[in-house]
Amino acid sequence: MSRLGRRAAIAVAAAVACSFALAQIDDPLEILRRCVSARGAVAFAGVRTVVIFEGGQKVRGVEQQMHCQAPHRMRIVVVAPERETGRMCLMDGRVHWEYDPGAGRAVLAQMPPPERVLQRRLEELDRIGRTMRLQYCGIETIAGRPAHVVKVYTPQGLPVKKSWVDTEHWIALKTQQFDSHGQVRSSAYFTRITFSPTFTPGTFEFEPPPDCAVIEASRAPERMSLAEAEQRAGFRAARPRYLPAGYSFQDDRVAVISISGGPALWLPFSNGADIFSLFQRAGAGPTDTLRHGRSITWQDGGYRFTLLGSLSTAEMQRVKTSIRP
Amino acid sequence: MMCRQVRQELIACWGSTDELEAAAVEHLRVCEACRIEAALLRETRVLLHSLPAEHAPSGLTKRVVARIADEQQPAGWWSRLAAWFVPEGSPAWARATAVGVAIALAAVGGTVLYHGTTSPGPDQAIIATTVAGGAQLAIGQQEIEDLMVRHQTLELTQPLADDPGVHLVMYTSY
Repeated sequence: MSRLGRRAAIAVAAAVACSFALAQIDDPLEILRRCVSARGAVAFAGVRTVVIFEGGQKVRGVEQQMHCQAPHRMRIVVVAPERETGRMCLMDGRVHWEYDPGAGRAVLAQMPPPERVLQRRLEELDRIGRTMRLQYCGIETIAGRPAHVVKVYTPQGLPVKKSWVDTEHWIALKTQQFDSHGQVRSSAYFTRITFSPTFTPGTFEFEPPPDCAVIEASRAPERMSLAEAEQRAGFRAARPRYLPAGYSFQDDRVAVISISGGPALWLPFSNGADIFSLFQRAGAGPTDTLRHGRSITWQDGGYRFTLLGSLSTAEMQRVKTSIRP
Repeated sequence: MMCRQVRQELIACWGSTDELEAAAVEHLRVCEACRIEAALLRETRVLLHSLPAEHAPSGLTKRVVARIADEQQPAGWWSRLAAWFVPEGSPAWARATAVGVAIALAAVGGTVLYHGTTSPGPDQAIIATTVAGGAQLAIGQQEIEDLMVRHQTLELTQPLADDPGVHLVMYTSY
């Protein structure tokens, strides 16, 4: 065989091997598994756009610069619009900083060990594989790179999340989350990404500026069954009678935390992609309904409730109305 | 829309198409030169924000706030009372006499009008309630912010959850 012929044969073999490799991976659960495992394990740098929608209408849009270095180091900085530039979050696996230069405030949170988080996420993902509908939708190009497209639906067929996962490095190049009406609620997509990044020294370090208020978040509490949590808190939980489509009560992940010195029940509700929390504590507080960010706090029947999460305002209100202590 | 108008808009938003009006977005779709302009602006902004942050010297904010407070500090009651009776720039003896007369009159008037009650007036009561309510609200917000951080930490452990960068945008008040 001539040299040209050999080269042609090698090229064809490589193309066949490549297409075979791609063809092998069309199991949506396996793609999501690899995507979950790749977070914190793959180095990359890029620029992406994050857009938030409310009732199908865009309400916010920012551009972020993202740096990731294995293992588990991540720095995300808002670069546009101008009024939000410099807001950032930084993680090194155990510590999570969130810094808002406009507010002069930095929040420090201790994270569980990354290995434990990964194990938990993979276990939960297997549960999602059993309880949700997953669909492989082929390959599309995002930021100039081929990506597997996977869609996750509730058993009733309502979309929950769509992911575009890099076919080589398994990083999510684009994600869309849907609200309980099937409308896009958030979209995050890279416009530029490199998997051969170079990081300047200090990229993953953060020292709060001298005049910045540093708030240390409370540590993650022990999770337990609802019955045990109610016993420890000394009162019964008031659970919502209405839950948005796809959500269920995480009855083995209830916690009892201390708020202003008193016990409070923390009830999480999840659809696998999103989670919202209901906090309930005994005692009085401001009688007015207080809205702050994505939360509602109100007083009812001798208890104070706070509902918070990424639900739409209308869904939050509906869940709130269905809670009767 | 003309290239010049589109480029002015692009400069205002550093080339981000998210904040452009529909006509400008449509123009970008067909005009390559403006697209390149937008890309250059975005690139410039990214490079600018890649520079390490410069921290202000320690205590700068406190010093600036203290200076502002000093400069805005109202004049003492003596000067203000004097200024009410006697024009600015009058001799010091005239101002002192005016204040003395005013104090004497106030003492006499106060004695005549005194009814023996020391409870705060309605205005004072309203002010006290408002301050207490504000403090309560502030405590409530701190509490909620703590719950928000706890919630986000839990959310990050969800298998299909987005990374913290998306939460950074999602959980900002708007």
